[in-house]
Amino acid sequence: MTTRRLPGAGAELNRDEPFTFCWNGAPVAGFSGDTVVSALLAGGHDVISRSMKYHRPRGVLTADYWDPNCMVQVGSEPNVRGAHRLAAPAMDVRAQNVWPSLRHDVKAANALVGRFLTAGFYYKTFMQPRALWPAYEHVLATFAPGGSVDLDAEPPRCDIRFAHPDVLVAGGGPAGMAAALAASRAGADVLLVDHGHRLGGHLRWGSGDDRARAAQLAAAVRAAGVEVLTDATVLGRYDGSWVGINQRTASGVWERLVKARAKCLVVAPGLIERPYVFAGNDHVGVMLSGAVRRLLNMYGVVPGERAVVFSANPDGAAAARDLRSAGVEVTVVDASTGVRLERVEGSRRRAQAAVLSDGRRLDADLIVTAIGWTAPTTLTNMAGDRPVYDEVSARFFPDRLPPDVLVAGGLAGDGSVDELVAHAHATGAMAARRGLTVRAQLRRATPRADPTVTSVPPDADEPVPLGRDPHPALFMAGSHGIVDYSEDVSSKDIVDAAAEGFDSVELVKRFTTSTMGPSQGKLETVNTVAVLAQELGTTIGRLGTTVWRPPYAPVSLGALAGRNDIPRRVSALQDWHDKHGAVPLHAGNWLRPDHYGDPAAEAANVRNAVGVIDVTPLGKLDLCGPDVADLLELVYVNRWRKLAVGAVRYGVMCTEDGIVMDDGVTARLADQRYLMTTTSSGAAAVWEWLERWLQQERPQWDVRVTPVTPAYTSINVAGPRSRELVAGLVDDIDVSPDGFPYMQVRTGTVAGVGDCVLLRIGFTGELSYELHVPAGFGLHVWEALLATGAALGIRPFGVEAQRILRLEKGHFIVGQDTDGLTRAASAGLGGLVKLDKADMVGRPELGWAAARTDLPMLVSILTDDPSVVPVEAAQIVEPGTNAIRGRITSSRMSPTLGRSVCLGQVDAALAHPGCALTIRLPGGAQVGARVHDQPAFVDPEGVRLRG
Amino acid sequence: MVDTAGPVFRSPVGSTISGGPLSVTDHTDTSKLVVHASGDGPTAQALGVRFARACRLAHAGGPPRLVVGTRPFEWLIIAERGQAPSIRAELPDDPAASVVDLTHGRALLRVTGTPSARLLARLCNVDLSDDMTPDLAAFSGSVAGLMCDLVREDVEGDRSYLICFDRSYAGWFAGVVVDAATRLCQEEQQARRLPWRS
Repeated sequence: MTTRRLPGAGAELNRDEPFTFCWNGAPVAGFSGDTVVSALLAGGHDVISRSMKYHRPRGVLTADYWDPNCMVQVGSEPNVRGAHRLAAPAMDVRAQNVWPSLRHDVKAANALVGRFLTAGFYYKTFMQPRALWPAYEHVLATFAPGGSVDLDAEPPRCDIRFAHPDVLVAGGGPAGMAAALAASRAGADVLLVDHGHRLGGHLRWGSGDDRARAAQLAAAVRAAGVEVLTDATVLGRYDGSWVGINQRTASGVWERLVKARAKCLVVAPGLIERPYVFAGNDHVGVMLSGAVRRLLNMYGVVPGERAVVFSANPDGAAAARDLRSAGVEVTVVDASTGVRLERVEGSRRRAQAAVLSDGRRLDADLIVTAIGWTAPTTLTNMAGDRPVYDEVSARFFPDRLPPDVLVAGGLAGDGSVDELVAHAHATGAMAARRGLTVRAQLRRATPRADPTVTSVPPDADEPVPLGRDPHPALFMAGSHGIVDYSEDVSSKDIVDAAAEGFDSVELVKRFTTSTMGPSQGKLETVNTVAVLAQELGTTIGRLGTTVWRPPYAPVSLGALAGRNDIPRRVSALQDWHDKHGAVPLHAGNWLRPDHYGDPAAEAANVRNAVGVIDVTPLGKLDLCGPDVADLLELVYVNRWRKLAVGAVRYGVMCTEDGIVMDDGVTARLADQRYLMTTTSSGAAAVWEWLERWLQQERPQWDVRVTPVTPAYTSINVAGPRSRELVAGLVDDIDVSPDGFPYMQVRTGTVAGVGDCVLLRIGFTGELSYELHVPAGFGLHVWEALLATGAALGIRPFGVEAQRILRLEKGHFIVGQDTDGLTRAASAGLGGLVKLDKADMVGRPELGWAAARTDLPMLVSILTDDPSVVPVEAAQIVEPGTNAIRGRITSSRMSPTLGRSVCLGQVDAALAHPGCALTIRLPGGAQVGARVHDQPAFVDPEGVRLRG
Repeated sequence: MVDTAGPVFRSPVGSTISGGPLSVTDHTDTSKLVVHASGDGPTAQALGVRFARACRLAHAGGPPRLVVGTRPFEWLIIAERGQAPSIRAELPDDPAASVVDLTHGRALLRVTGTPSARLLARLCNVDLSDDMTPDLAAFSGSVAGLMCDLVREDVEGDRSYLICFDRSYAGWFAGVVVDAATRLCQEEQQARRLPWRS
């Protein structure tokens, strides 16, 4: 490979740090500061990618962040911007979307049928017949562009950060730096963001004087204490002045999403050079003037040997000057003479000649265009502005901006660097004043001990508006060429779209996909509008531009997701569970012990001796105040006014449409104090529900609700020997059957820990006590229970054993055996609903449901073959027709009965005891079953429970 | 509810750091009481602090207690370990007030050091500038996705925040905070070593 590196040139390089990396498996030399693509070009690698549709060879176009031809795969990371990403030692870089290789890409055969692949081809071709769509989809997927995601690779770590600057400046060129500097000197907290690796904007690839000016401004920015984020892109401006920033270079993380609430935003992104549309404009060796200057001045890379520069502005002249300095033979085609670049001829590898409108054919391996700019009005557009086209300067400008958005630099107008800096300086001072005014308003509204007034700088001078330099409106030659390099959309496609009746740029965008690639229209939008306007016989100004939406540039999903931390809740006993072999169960955010190895044995032990289970996730709410009984009467379907101190009652909550929402028991601890328990998953929803009724519907009631779920370690002690066990650990509570009967509550000391709450209730169907222990002492009490219970045959049991036990008892679980349509009557709770109460949530609907006889019912079910355990959600069907008549909601093998037991919802006509059912198992097999004659399978009379 | 002075009290916070520019310390064993009361009653008067502010309430028996106006008509009292019964006893007899001891229900971390605001900015979207959250400002917000009550309570001029949150998340949450603190310190250390990238 040839070396195209200029000796000593390249302001961004550190030649003391050479290294090699891999390009398609072969070593490539580079220096610290090189981008992947600058190193590749220096090594003579001209072809970087293949185009999306026709797989034409593509080389450098812009040599910056927006270069559509330089997307590469780096290791396991796809779609990396190779003209922006800094090369690093041992980096593994590969071309993407090619097969079998970049040099010999079989998919280039697409070009042979290119004339059929016009705009709308996919929409028209693959619509019919519909049955073939899966086949189409499979084939099309193999042609999908982009790199590949390595699903086995360790996901990169991303995080998030919040910022609240007074002024946020988007763009680190001379104008952005000047604005930031002025704002900072005026006393504002300033955040300056630029997507380059260094500050400086276009001065970075300018002359030595330009680079010195950039360094001077950057040093002043640093000295002023401005916070600078380089290699970071402002993604969007949202309501409430939220500005999203994707920071790619952040220590310790792959990418960081910065969410900044900027009191004032200064948009100074500079101008983006626009490609020229002509035949052959995607040949390797066709570049924009900015690309040439970046390669030469930043990286010391000579991009060709003989150049033609088609120039309509000073940037073209500067590129020609830089090329000549590097020893390149240059022919300048001055657009002001009326001569146009008509087309470029070349081979598969590179451009070979430029053909001009006057018929001349100029041999060249480098064709440079400098025909104008696109003003990236994206952020101002997101702030509500619709940009307006200025025919004199041949670009769009912002029109009407909200007061907290200002513009500087090329987006505001034209001028020398000094003029742009002076304007930006005044803009920055104004931004500071606006930002500090907002800060002072916020400060005044903030409670504080020292209500001193924040000083706001004096009125800043309005920036003197910048002028607008005339520029020829050059968009397209007389020949068709590529408009969107990312999507392989040509001007011919846009003309065809216009011919099909698409007369809106928004619709043409969607029909042709022009502007929808990774560049997101930065290079393509204005050319798309220009070609369409020409074809429709209108002007760019009348046609307008597309609406720019966030993100400004594509952003990885990882960056948007932020930290990969899933909140996890555990009880005070979790370490004990882990040490004793508990198999974890993820239940919402909670981590719970599912079982300790043998759930059936754990369940049997509860039936025969005693077991303990950690039920800490059970929702718990402390209710206090004179109107608690009224609240309970309102939110539960049953009665509560006569609940005595020391008593416990089961209740069911329904929503306003009578749907079962939650259930649990509530204990009256004192005259005006209650402890409500909820389902584990329903704790937050019930708290919110109570607050809603108290704050919005019954504000006159005095009830104070405090969630206390984590304050207690909750332990259920269950089994025929549970009374003996509890009796051995309490000093101040009479646990005899008469002293502490079923559905009662006591408070007292357990294992030396005071302020415990004990409830005699039984979800498992056994004699049991629910102990709520101050959480910091939870482990102490748990271990005391196990130690004392050793002689009684105690063993811990997990959630799975509890589910077996409750199913044997016929107890349902809200959300498992009920669903979003289950009314109280359907869940077998009809007797609990007191329709004669003065008021309760859902009363009209519950009354209506009670009168109906056609609602599905929750019933207990036994299969004919006791060894069959139908899976939960198995359908209950009509024999023969397979019409669905219900479903199994819970099923387990009962260790107590030695057979399967189920709960299920069935049609009302099938809900009577003894009714034969047919259950359809996955795979289609059917088994017979019948409705059991009572809800409980074990101890239907409740003797064990009440014992 | 019993206080945490007993010998078997166990904090759920597993991770802490100290000794550097940023410390994350566990204060879960402090007494924490939630008071609900009307805004114009004797309890509110005794507590003497409004919503969104905190104050140190002196008392004869020891160091001052921190009273935080966490929500309208709701206060959080944070005091030394073992103080819950005496705090409860010292509050005025007020039928319109209730006191719930959440000593065991809530964990408490303190983040101290100059970089503490920058640490919290990695986890929390509240503006932590002096203008918006001065010393003894109190606010509720999502920290690493978890709803927390925060109090800025500087220690001898050093910026410091108390974070009070649901105990059941403590192991996970402390891990997240300590991890973020460690990474922040590494990042800032690295930034000091690197030349200015302009």
